[in-house]
Amino acid sequence: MGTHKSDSSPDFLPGTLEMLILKTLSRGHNHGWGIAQHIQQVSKDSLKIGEGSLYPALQRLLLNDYVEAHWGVTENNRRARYYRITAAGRKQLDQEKRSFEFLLAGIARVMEA
Amino acid sequence: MKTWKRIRHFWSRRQYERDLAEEIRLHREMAGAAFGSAALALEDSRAVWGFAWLESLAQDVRYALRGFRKTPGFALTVVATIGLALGLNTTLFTVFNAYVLRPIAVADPYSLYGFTWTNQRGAGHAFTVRDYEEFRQSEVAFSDVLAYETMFAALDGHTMVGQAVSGNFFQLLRAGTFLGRPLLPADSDVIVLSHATWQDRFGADPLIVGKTLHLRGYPLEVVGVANPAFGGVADFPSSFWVPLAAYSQVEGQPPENVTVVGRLRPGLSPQTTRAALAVWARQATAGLPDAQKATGVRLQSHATMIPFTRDSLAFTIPVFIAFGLVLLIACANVSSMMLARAPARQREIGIRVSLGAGRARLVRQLLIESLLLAIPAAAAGFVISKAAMDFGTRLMYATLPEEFAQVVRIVELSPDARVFGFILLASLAATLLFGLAPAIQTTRSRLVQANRGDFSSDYRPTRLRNALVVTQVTVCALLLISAGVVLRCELRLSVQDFGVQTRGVFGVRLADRFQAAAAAALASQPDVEAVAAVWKAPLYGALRRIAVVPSGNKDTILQGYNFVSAEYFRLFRIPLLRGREFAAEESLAEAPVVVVSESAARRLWPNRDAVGQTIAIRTEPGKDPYFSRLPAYRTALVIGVARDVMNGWTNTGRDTDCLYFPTNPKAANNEALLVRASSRKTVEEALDRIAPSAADYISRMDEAAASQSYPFRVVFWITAFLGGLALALTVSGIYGVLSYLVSQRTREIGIRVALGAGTGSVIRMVMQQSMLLAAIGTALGALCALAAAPVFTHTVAALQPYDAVAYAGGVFLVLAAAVGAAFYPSRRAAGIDPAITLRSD
Repeated sequence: MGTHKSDSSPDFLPGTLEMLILKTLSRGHNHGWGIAQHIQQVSKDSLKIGEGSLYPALQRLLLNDYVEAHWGVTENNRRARYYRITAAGRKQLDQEKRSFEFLLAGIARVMEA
Repeated sequence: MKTWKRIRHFWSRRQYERDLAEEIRLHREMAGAAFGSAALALEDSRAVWGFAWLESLAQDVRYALRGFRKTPGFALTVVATIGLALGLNTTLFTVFNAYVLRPIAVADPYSLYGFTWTNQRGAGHAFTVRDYEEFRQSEVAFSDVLAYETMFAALDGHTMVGQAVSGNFFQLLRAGTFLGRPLLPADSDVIVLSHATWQDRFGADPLIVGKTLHLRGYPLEVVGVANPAFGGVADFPSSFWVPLAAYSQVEGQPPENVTVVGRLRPGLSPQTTRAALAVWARQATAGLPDAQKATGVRLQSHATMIPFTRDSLAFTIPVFIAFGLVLLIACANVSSMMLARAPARQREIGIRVSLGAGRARLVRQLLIESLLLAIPAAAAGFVISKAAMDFGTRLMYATLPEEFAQVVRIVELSPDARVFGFILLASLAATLLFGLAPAIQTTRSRLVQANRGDFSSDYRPTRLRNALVVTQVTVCALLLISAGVVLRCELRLSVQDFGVQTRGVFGVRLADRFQAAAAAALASQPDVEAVAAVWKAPLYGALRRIAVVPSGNKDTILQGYNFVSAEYFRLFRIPLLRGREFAAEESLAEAPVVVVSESAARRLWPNRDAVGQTIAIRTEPGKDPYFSRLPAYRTALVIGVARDVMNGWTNTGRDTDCLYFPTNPKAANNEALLVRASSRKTVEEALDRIAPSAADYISRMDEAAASQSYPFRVVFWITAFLGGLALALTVSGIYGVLSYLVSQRTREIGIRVALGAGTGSVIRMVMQQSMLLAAIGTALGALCALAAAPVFTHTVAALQPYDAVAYAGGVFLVLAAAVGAAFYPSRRAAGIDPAITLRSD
């Protein structure tokens, strides 16, 4: 995997990481490592998430009741903590998506002007 | 909801920790490689749950306490140093609070305002009782108005300061009583005692109400004892209260002037009240001559003993600065102690940094350490301030000239919320002062070097430490120079020749009606040498001034004046330089003659003989109560010239020019009799034959002379104490810095010695360091003193703030102390054995 520049990724806008996690979980429950892998694969390696930012973000989601956690077993028969999105989480995801698109559109307009 | 979750989380945080740790371990396993700090990920995750700060706080506290246990000497020194400085500052604040901040113990103190109007010269109108009654009946602006006048009189043999008050005094203030009832408007021959007087002078007699006490020999019935906290509305605690009617009985006439205090109408602001009063005052004085017309009004809050004004601040700020500087020095000392510990801490902090600890967290940890030291320091400070106040009060009463000690009363110096708030704020400020700089300095560590195991190369706190030492020396020099200036002033005053021979002379203050009888009784006593009547006894304040025109001149000159009987000059051993004293008949008849002092003669008739000249008196009688007593004649013949003597407060330094007019014990309006007698007992015996408690006050004139320099002595001792403390702290500060420096430079010095440097040059090297800092500090201190000097020249004339000897003394003391402090470290440096130091690495 090579060296990573920084663990607490400053490349993310505040709140975007949580949005990405929620989006990943909206496709089904997953564990921490799985979430990070998914985001990395889908983004074609342009978004790499270290544990230093992933786990604090998961705690924030847990605290806000957007996800719930339970211990389960992976395909490889290992104990892991699985996260599942809640109803409140879905609502939050919708809202964040909308405001993110709005923001993106705004940035795009400025950049193309 | 979130809070609830956080609390639940807090209860099961052990389980949570285990889960999280396992989760992250799993993550790393799956990733097949570890990157970044797992500890940091854990810590950041924990931080999300909010209560983590509490936990890490507890951790920091535990950690700090463990540290203190390891070095108890350090912790104790810090607590003692800061505690002492905090204690001194708390003492000062408690006194300030009691007089200037704490409201007096009456209902709604903030609506009480003293009132007077001012004329075109800016002088306040002095209310007579009649003025007051008219003002009260006019019902302007205030809801009600009271009046009081201070009385200085003997109550059953004890001289006290009390107040004669208007009948509505207690009703308006709603002060209440501890025993019996307050004064009522219909009262005349009754008295209310203060709680302190009742306890100290009458043994807290529970049956005191209904008893009869004699005020200046006049019987008054005790009707009540005031509440413990109540001390009246003047700027000192009153010992008793009597109705104005009783004042007239006791003194033989109503008070010349009264102070007027009103209560604002509900809903009316002071500004509105002021405006209404200004209109009223202008109307009320419209018919009077221009000089007496009201041009403005003065409204002064009476919510506290001393109003919080620019004047009271101008007086207290220098004191607060002096005390605050000691706290600053103490903080600087602790700061440099912490810095000296820093190299050892540096290693530990380097390790923590390499394990992923953030700088903010480390600074917080170090500040918590400081705070943990500040809390016991604040407690120690509180205890110290209590002890200091007890000790200070006792010391004051013990050293105060006896005649003041019996009448001076100080307010209750109890701590309240404001005092606790002050300690809290001061200790927090101290924490920041002594903790922040070392914390920031110490955490300025670079990861790479820390990992290499090199924790010293980045550490350069020398400049900060030097700045701290220079600050200490500056403050110390400033305080010592100030102490020197005050001491020299006190010495000058105490060796000064007053010109009046005060030893063996007693001043007897008593009511006019007793004076003739008292003079006769005293004169008939076998061991009384002389008795003189005097209007204003000397050494009790500046002389009153009178406008005169000397013969052969047209200019009006303001001169100090007094009325004395013929015996006055002999009694005080004042030699007549020219002419003669009053003859007995002239005294009795209050003849139009005058004896002038040497300097007055020079002022009035320069280069001419004063004897035989005349003066014309120009001051109009009755215009201003300040000139209440004037000669009955308009011209007087100069019959003699007396040698100059000091008449009033010696620190004004300009009251030697005096005109003496003749008077006698039978004349009204003399304030005192002066007696030259072998003992106080003789005087008391003679006076007791006249009436019980006839004399208000018997004082020894040499004590009055000594009391002139007493304030300077107090200021000197306080400044000297602060300066001494500052010196001790500075010496230990310099010692610490140099010891540290020597231990740091051991290797370098070892090499120098190996290369042939002699003992002398090593000592010189260390000394140079100390002397440079001390020289900069003393220079700055002297400059500060010079800069502050003009402030004091204006307030106290006897003070000579540009006193070269005081400056030289202060500078020498500080430099000598710096040399002393540097001596031991430099000896140690000289004793360094290169063979040992060079092998150690």
